[in-house]
Amino acid sequence: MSRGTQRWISSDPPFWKWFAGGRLNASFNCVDWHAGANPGKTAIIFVPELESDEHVHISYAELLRQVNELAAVLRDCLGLKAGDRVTLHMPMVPELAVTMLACARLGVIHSQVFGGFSGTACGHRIADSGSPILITMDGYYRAGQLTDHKVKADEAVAAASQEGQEVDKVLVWRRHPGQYASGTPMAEGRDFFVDELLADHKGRVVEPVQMPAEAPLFLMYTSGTTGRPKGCVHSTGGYLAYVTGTSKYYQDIHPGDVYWCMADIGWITGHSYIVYGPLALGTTTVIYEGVPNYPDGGRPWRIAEKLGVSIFHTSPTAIRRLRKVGPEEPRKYGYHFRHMTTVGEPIEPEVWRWYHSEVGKGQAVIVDTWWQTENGGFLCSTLPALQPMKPGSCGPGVLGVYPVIYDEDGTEVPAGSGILRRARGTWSAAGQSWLR
Amino acid sequence: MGSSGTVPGMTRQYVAGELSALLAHVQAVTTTEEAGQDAWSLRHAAETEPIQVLPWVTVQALALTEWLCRDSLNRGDTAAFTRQAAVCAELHEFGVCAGLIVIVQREDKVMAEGQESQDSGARVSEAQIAVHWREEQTCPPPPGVRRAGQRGRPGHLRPVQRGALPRLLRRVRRPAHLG
Repeated sequence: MSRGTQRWISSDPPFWKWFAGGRLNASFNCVDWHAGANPGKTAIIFVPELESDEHVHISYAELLRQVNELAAVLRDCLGLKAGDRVTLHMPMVPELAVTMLACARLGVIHSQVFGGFSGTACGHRIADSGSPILITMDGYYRAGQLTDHKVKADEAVAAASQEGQEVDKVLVWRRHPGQYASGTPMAEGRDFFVDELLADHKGRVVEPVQMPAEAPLFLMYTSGTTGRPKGCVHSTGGYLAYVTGTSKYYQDIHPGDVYWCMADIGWITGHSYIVYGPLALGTTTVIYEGVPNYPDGGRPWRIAEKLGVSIFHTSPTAIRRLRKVGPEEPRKYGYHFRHMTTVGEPIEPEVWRWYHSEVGKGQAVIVDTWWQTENGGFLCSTLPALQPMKPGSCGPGVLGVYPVIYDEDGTEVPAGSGILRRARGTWSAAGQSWLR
Repeated sequence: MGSSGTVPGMTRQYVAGELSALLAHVQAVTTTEEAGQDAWSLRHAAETEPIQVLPWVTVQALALTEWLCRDSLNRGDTAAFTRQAAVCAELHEFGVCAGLIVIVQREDKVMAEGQESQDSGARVSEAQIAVHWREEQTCPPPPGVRRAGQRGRPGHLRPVQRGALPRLLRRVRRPAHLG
């Protein structure tokens, strides 16, 4: 991040501006910085769903090369520039992280739609965001099957068009470069294979665009209360500072760690704690393609053992499923977690204890976190190693955040009673929501 | 940007996403146009409606898969039945693990019912929260982790602790409109 930007202004509290006047590039902070200092270090380990397929290790130098080449394609073939919007509808593959970072390199605002969503849902989000470009993949593995994903792109383009947003170009990554996994034809003049475009941009270098700290980095859609998803805009400087800080202090990520967040990059957790936070800290982040219990409930623990994962991050729903399909599976494997996170919903004390004693083998600290898509990063969590953990309760407000508890009559009450209703503070990652 | 205001429950978007992906499997095993349309409508609801609707969607989807299974049995289509039963089981397991449905036993029948609300904060009474808070024991960090934490430089976090925050930020601890 640029020096001399550690200041903020407040013209209309509590709507703060962060690092006003500062400029940065998220891609530079997440890739170039580490590629220069430690080029051979692994940035991403991709674990394909099929257990017979080899893991793919991508170093920071390699990631830099891939991000540069794709950024050149986006700029030169599509004419994309800072401030443009692009919708991504991609599965859990490293190409997704590369695409996000290539967009960030140009200052292009990316809007990733969860890969499991239908083409129609993607189309609505394309229309809402006003994206003329869709980037997708031909297929991916889920529960052992190669799923046709490109077919959804055609649905998405049609759905967006019905709402008045035309999609000019569709870029299609191929799960296996050179082999097309979809049964749907490529539309002449609209659809292009990314690997073919990349062939003409080998070795290209794109200077990262210096973006204002308050410039949007990405859009993320979340369910509203109105029956129509709402888009949250996260800015570059405040968001990146917040997810980097919470990754450091609450996820306890160090450069030597192998960190695995078993969420999907299609959600805010994946943006913040698979891509931007861990890469900004120069650690190794794991991207797993498939479902956690394929082919059996021992899969996550085999991955952890093989990769030497030291920090594990998942949701209570996944913990309950893994407990159900293999309550004693973790003890069969020789991995060692130092730190574990639970995120996304409250966890019952009984399930927490299984997570602690079986998955963590009683040796890992657990942070139970509370936050939302709109916040961008943790709002409540224990500080690992410093604060005691209470099974079934998320931690106190994180540094700079002051939760306020009210009873049912709206009277402020002390911790231990009532329901969390408000949070005061100045976390820098808070997004702006579009309500339509 | 900083903020303060009403804080609703966690958004749990990934639950909507997983349910949508499973409803695509339901769509794939439908055997009539009408059932396919029903499955599409449920998937559309999962992708667009508020999270609170997901339990209802799950119960409806289970009812649909059960109907599909019965229909296939009546027609003697065992191949379709096998696929539909597998999808139904997957959906059921996910619904239970995600807390979208609860299993209830009534008059010798085991049924799935939708959870009333996905906002646990609203579902759990104040009294239950208070009891949990008082009675649930805290668990200290494992010794190895604690030692590692203590090896850190003393005062490592001091610059960002509450008392050390810049005056500008301290002001928002009690903004007037929050009382």
